[in-house]
Amino acid sequence: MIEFIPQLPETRIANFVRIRRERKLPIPGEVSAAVGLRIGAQDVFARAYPPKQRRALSLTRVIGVREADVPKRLLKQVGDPVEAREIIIAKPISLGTARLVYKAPEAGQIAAIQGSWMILDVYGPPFDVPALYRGTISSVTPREGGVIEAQGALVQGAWGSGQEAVGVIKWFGKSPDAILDAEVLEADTRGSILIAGGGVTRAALERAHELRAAGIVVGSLAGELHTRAMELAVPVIVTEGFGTKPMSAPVFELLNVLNGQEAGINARYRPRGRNATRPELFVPLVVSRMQQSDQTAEAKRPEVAPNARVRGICEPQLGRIGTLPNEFVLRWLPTEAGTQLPGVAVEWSDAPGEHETVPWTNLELIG
Amino acid sequence: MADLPNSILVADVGAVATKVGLIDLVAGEYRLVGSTRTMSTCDAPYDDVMLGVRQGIMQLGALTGRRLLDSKNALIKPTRLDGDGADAFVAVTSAALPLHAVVIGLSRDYSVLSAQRAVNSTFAMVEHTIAVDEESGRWGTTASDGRAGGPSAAVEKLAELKPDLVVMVGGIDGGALAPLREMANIVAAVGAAMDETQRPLVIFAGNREARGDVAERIGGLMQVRMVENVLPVLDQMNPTPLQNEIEAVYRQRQMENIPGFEKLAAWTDKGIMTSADAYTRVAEYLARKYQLRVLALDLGAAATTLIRSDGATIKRAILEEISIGYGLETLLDRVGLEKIVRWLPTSFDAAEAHAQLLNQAIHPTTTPTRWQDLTALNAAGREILTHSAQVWKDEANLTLADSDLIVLSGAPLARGSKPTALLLMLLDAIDAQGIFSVAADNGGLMAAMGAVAAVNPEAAAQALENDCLVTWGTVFVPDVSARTGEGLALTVRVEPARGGQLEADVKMGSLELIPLGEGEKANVELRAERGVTFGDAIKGNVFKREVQGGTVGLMIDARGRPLPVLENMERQREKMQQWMWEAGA
Repeated sequence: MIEFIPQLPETRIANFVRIRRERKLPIPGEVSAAVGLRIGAQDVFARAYPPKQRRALSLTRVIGVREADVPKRLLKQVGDPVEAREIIIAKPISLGTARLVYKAPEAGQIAAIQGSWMILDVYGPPFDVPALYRGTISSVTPREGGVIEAQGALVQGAWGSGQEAVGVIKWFGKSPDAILDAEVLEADTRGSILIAGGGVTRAALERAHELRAAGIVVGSLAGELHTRAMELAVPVIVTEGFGTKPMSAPVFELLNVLNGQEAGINARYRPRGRNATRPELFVPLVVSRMQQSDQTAEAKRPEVAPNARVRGICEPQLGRIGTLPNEFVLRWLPTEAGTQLPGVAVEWSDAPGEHETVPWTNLELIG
Repeated sequence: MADLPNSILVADVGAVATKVGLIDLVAGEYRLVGSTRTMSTCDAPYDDVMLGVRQGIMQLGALTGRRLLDSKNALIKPTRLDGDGADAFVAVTSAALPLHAVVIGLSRDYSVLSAQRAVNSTFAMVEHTIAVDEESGRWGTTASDGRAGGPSAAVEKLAELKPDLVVMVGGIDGGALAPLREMANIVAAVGAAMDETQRPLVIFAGNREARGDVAERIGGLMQVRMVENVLPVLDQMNPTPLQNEIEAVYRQRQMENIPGFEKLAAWTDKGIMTSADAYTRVAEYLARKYQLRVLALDLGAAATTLIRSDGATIKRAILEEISIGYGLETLLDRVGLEKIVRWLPTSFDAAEAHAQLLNQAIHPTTTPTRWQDLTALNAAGREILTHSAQVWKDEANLTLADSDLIVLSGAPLARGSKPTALLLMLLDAIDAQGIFSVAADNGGLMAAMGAVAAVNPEAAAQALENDCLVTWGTVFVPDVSARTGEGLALTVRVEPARGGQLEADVKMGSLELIPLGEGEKANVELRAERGVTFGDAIKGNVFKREVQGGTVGLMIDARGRPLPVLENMERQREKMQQWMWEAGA
């Protein structure tokens, strides 16, 4: 018996929570929101102008000008905008009867000149940061972004492909293990966050991308689709893991209730560090949904306690939902490998009344 | 000695797991009296490394019956008369994120390579390199707009990245300055184009006479640190000053940013060491004390570390992007599933193994318990080691093949794979030859002993040898390259000290596992067939020596090196099944 009960990782799956999320520009820019401003999911509150391309070239090598002569041959200076084909530097040749020039390949701005080296930023479209989470701006960091406080339903995933979007939840989950096929995706897929049960086929993934779906949320994803999902523009969230796993019941049931609601999907996945982020789907609270739901109290952050709801995060229990016993202790659990691990008896919801001892490290709290 | 602490609490805070142990005097010897493993809490949603450390200590208190924290959760130090508390606390960590570095130098084969090696031995990842002597002429300029000399793709890549660190190298001391001035212009131009809050730190480790020029061009824009030339003369590498500077930057910018780091540091007597530094000290200690060539391999959940020490020299490589936890996604991306699957028996479904590896990457704290899951991870472990070994292979005089002692640490041990399975993983991945011992860091506290040595060297040495390292046994890998066919490779006769005798024939291409328990010794006689040798150090075709047993025993590997991996996937996987049976994996 082990007397001390250690911590467990946690995943938030809740109908009603209050969250704070920082939204930042990739490079410094302009922040247009003020503290206290109520903001919609698609409202842009920060904008930056990253270059489409950053071109680097040696002016010495381009037109053969000496480093010391660069300043006097330049027709543009650092910070100057340039039009496409506009001459940036010119050097007289052939006794002054002609000149060798370097022209801007595209419209942009001279970002830096150091010695003979020039960095030319080619203009690109502005980079906008929408709120994504409908709520209230609670703090602003000038030139960087701000923090949004919001309340609503939250489903965190196990993995995300990157990208983010706002869309309307469209329910395709006939059952927790249903696979999303390309055939069911029609023109109205555009702007929708597609919710399927067990997974998605490669064809459906590609079609969702083509039709500009706002996102996909599935229980699991085949390993072979991992890289492709990251290449596509459509954000994908996997709630359980890779392979062929049905969506766990709490996620499935909550997403079913949220069908037709506007949601923000943030599939960015950064597992480590101070800026670690979990992929998540957030549906801001609306009165009609509150009225439909019995669960109107804010869900508490889950903690290790008797009867706490847990989910398996390792095979063969991956994705199974269960509860810790009323009075529980950790016991040494022999493994097939011949070692011993701290384990706890879990009652799985798909096998009520039965308890299975599971390694403690293979569980997470949900709620 | 009277001033040295007797009871020492140790913590190793990893990216995934926090290990805590207590060393104390037991019957006149220092022993590890208990150890625990809890989840690290340095990342969201916890954001406080102390939570995991305190939980580990409380668990250890429950395990040892000794109160180590007081009612306010503060460390009880020194040990009280009633036995509660500890005299000292030491900590090591590998939880911080690595530095992202760019190396820019004059020559790919000399300065850039030297700097890359130096950076690879620290907690930094080389994201991009630029070498002058590449592409179409200097700086890789290409034709554009119908004129010679267009934009440089390599420099543009640098301008798009946001490295933490730019390492500038090039030129031997006293060499030409003009190329270095231009290199400084490039770095300055790239830095000037960035927002000042995002500019990287620059370390210049090139021709010392260029320091003034470099400082003049870059110093006004970015923080610049000057260190000794990484290549002061053409055939002499000098990586240590650069490595030390990178370590200092890592400490200031990454380690001290770990949430709760200050509180943890305040508990320690000598500050917090990086796990890799502490691990290096232990490898060095073992090499010096026993006069062995030691190869220490740490397959961590967030980084892979290789250290080789022969007592006089130390070589180290740290791979941050490829690991047996978080780094599995990158591994699959880099080497591909097929290379991993070739190490799995035919009964394995490749898609399931793929999913299992990705699931381990997203849940690195988990402990797979099924044989098939552990086997899939060990297959990935082979490719991690193979890939890591490549980092060494480009360096002359450095080989993993001639070690006397191989020590394995890290996640595979914590996950509970069978020692035979992990030994086979090592033998498959590393082209080790000859006769060597293998030991394992079962409790995951070997690195922390390097930090313990700073407060009580004797305690570190005794706890290391008594409790941290578990001997697996002795391995014989003869050179069978001069022999062909499938006949007999050698015969082996084992006479354990406890009595009895065992003889076995070992066929070409096979493995033979002979049980010889921990602490047992045996006289071993190996009689090689024609064309089979035991390496340069042993003459003749008969080898006799007393050897030690261990958890595994004696392993004879007559498969040859490099390992014969078959192109036909089906046949390779059948072969793998056979090897696993033979090795008891």
